[in-house]
Amino acid sequence: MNMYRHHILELYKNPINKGRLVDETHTSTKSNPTCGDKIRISLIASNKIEDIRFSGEGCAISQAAASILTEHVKGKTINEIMKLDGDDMLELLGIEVAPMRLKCAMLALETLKKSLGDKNVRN
Amino acid sequence: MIRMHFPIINKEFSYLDNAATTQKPSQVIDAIKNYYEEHNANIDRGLYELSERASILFANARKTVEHFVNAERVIFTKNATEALNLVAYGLMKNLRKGDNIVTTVLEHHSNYLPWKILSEEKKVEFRVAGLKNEKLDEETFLSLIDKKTKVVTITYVSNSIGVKNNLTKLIPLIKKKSNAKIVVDATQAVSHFRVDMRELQADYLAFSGHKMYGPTGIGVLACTVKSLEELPKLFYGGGMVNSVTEKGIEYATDIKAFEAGTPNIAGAIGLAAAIDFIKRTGFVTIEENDSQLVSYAINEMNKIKGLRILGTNQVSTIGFVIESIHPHDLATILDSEKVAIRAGHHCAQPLINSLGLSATARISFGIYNNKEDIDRLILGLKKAIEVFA
Repeated sequence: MNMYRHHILELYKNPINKGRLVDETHTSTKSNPTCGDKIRISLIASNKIEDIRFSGEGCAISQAAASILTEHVKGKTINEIMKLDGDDMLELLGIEVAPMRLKCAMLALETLKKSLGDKNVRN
Repeated sequence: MIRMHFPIINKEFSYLDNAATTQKPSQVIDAIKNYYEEHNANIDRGLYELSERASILFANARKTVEHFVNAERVIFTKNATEALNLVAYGLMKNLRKGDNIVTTVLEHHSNYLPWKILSEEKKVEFRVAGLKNEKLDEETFLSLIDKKTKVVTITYVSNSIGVKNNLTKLIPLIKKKSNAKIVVDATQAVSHFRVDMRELQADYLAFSGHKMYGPTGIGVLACTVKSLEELPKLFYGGGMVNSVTEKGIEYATDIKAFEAGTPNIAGAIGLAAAIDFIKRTGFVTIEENDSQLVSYAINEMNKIKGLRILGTNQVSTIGFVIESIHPHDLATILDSEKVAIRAGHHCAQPLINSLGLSATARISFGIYNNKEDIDRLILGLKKAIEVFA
């Protein structure tokens, strides 16, 4: 049960950076069609991420990933964020993700990139 | 022992996703292998003995299917989705503004989206009956049907929550209120109890081979002679014409006009073998196994705190949720305990949303499932609750 490590379950039950910023400058919503996971990213950024929140619902993996990612990108530049890839996300999660669940793990990162205008992210 | 007939089934593993696809008995696998090894040729055109043999096997497969659901005609498709789209495109062609179509919120997307999208295009009203006490609200459903209803399309058994619609009661009542064409999605029904098209008075009936112990890539659109005549041709090509000259085209008649190109011959033969398997097993045995498993599972699941079973009077599929565990997490943990279940919206999002949920877990039984499978499931569910405690 490598996926359900303590820190993942803890963040699922008690997420961080959950909510919505009133004066958000960027936002995007994305869902995972196979399972109904849903993430909305709300952030304030000019060059750097000044503040960020997420809202949504879904499985432990998608929701814990959103907490971890939003915490990680605070203060990072948009360029730095655009360079983050799947391997970086898995490293941040610190767990082995089963192939069938990779979409759950990547949802927050894809939503974040989409909110910053990444055209490569598919809806 | 029925389990012996299924090479993939073993003691170490519980396959509880039969509503998605069933496993295949040796009889079906052998029939396909035997066809390719001994009888393979294109049908209805080769002027040699081998082609004649293949043609006879294919024609016999069609007869087996016709007899199985007591249909006047059977068109082979690639699956139930294609069959339902074929009817939807065919019937919608003649609809006018002001007409309406009636369906239910229990439908799989394959019997929902074609009608919904074509309704929008045709400016035809798309009426969807909801649930009452987690089964079809029959009163509302019937109240939606009027003289302008041109199609009523309804599932026999819900793929997500296993509820069976009482079609033998409902269809005569529909017929009293309108001349609508009756389309039945029998995908989750045909391998669990006897389906008789004439008795049902359905105009069209669709199902997939792979959910009834047959191979993938073969499905069925069964219909009456009259309802077949009302379908326009959709695909053009080989096999569906008698002659093509500069002066004009003479089309093949009857079902052949709907099966352009070389059909899935091996698939049809495999499907016929699956029907033989079902007949040999017998619906008495199948229904007894289903009902024992459903009542045992529900009884055991109800002992688990925070578990909610969806729907009622399940045939062979049980939808459920567990408080504070997402169905996907549940499925992953059960997988590590060697239990395969389905999680998500089961291609029936309108239904899942109408239950106030975004995803559910689902177990569904086949003829090889037994009480040990359910015991393993229950252990897995307890493990998941422990992990998330």
